[in-house]
Amino acid sequence: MHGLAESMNAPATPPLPAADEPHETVFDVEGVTCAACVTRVESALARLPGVAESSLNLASRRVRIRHATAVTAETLAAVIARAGYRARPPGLDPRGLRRTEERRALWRMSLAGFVMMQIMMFSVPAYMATDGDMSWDIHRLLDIASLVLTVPVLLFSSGPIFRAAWHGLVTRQPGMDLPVALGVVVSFVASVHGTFRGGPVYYDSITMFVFFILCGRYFESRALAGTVDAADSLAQLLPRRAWKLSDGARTETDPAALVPGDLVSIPAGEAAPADARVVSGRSEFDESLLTGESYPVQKSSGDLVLAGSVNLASPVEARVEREPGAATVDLIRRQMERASSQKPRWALLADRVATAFVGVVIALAALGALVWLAIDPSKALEVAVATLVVTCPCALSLATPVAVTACVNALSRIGVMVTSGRAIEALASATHVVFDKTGTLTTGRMRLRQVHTLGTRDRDACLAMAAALEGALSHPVAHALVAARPAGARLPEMTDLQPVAGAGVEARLGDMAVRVGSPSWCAELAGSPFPLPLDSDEPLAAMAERGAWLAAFRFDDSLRPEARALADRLRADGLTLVLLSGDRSPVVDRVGEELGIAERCSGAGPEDKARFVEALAASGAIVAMIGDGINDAPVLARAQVSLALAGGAALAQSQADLVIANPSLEAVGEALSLARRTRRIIRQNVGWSIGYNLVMLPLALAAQLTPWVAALGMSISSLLVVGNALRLLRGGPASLARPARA
Amino acid sequence: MDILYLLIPVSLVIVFAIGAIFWWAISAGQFDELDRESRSVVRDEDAPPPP
Repeated sequence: MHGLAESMNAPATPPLPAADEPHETVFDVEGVTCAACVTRVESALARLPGVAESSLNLASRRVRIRHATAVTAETLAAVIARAGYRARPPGLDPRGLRRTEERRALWRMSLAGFVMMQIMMFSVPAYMATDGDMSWDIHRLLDIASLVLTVPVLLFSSGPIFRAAWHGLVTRQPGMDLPVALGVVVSFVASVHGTFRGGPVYYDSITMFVFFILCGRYFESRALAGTVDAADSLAQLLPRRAWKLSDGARTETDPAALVPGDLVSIPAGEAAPADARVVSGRSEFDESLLTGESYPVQKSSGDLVLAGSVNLASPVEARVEREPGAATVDLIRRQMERASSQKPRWALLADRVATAFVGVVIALAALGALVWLAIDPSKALEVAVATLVVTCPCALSLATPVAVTACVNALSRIGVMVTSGRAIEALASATHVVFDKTGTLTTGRMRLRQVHTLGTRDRDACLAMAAALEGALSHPVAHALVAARPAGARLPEMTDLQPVAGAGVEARLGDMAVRVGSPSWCAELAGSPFPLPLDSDEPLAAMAERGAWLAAFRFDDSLRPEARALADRLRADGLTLVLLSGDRSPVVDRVGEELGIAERCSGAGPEDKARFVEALAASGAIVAMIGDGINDAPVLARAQVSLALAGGAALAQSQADLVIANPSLEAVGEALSLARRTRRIIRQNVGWSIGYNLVMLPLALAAQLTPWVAALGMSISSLLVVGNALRLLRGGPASLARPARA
Repeated sequence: MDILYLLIPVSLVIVFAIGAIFWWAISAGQFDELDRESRSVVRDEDAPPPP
């Protein structure tokens, strides 16, 4: 039992203290429409002394600010407000505010739509009529009617566009709203002039243009809300009421009012209100939304029930372990939000480019208009407006964040929590997968492999005695021995049971002392040295009575059933697999051979492991390392991307980039292929948006695009990018997918 | 064609009337949750209405 017992009892590395990190504040920011807004908010915050870092995610419209404790949330909100946006704390009754916002956006869009249709009716005669068909009066009447209809569109529907453009001018960081607003104003002024002095009018273009832009934004924000809601929906797992038990009475309370130590009752069909430990009762819990595991988990006295998991069978009573807000589900949510607020390199580039881009666009539009004034003055205005509109880099700035957010959510569905957005990038480009321990590929549960009888008693009698001795213990070896007891056998009556830490357990059978434990400790009782060779690294337990040896038990660690499939899948993906283990070579070789892993390194201490990974990384490999995430944090930290297998409670302590809460190893393969798909989608999105601008800009300058076609193209381009990213949320293997709930 | 002098202003009035009706529909929450009614069929009678 040597070695084994040590590794089982090794202390967990405590999570990093939060004290050396400055304070962190999160806001939902309203009014963010494009990449320039991101730059504007971030640079306004950066100018505030005491702010270390801020990151605004365009997809979730959520800003995460790291700052000194002296800076208050009110100051930060005021800074954001001065930049032209509204900041509010996340989760603080967003429904009411968001609903008003949504209604107004819908109303803005549909007003523009109605007006657009009506103005179209008014313009058809002007387009169809030949000279002299329509009198001057009718012409003016139609134009004035169009003007009357356009005014509300300009004042109300495009209000947010003008406001954002104005803020951009004031803060000298113009966003994409500026060219759009410029286009609208220029065409409107030209049209009003045309209405009263006789000349071309563009009311149809203006309204159509505003309508398409608002349409694009509306559907875009609806689609984005779908991806962002995944993190919020975790919060909605928590029940609205809890049943608190005090003095035998059952009272309904608010789950937020629970404190550790409270006794709660969890009726069948309801979700646990907090992380709680079962005191009485036995039931099955559905944890699929937290771990991705679709089979219900058995819980009985002493087991931890996670907040938000649903009781499927019978009522249980449980004692609250962690206060609401610190529950596992909250930690997961916070990690998910942090992951999607971190930007991969591409996104940073797009944000930086956007501001400079606007200046270039306005200059190009002016140049185009000047050139066309010389060629054909009637087209100059159209060219300028079309150029201003068609070049919006909205799609480019959305390309990455929307894909990363979708990926984080898709991963959470299969029970994989991403703790850093950059991890997805690294995982996608991994070349080597290093398994940090044999235990990663094995179940970690001991299985009795062999029994040597050493004395007069036969195999069954020895097993029955061992089971009786170990029955009360929770050591893995004890579980294995109890599980291996002969079917139907009566266990002998043991008295004076005394466990000895690090050695084994002693008890009396009648008046005879019996020990099960390490060979050296049992030898004291047997009075003679252990008769079998001790060369193997496999865990071994001996049993002795006073003056005689009884038996020796050999154990092994069984391979996870899905390990083989995972190894094959990773190899098929072109990855090199490495097995790095502190166990001695027979065990490592057995696991390696069964899985076909040729590169093995056995007997490696933590130092050796770290050196090995460093050397691998130095040779140009991108290493993804899989470990248990708690004891091996230093080794995991050397790899470019680390994955930790951690269920339930261990989740929060983990320092790895990706935490696999799903009990199946299949999730590792799935996470890898999701990361690769995300990278592909990011490339497609970026490629599309750059290609789109490259093609459309010359067309606009060549007067081949009318402003409304340009607006349509721009909106479709943004929607395409969002839709492409949403593909990540579809599909996935049936075995890992979350079960549908009625 | 003199009738156009009446019809065009009338069409304007109609557009504004339609706009007003639609505004009422939006602010009354008709478009907030489009599948609420289809879900209400399976909802328990005694459950409190959704907030």
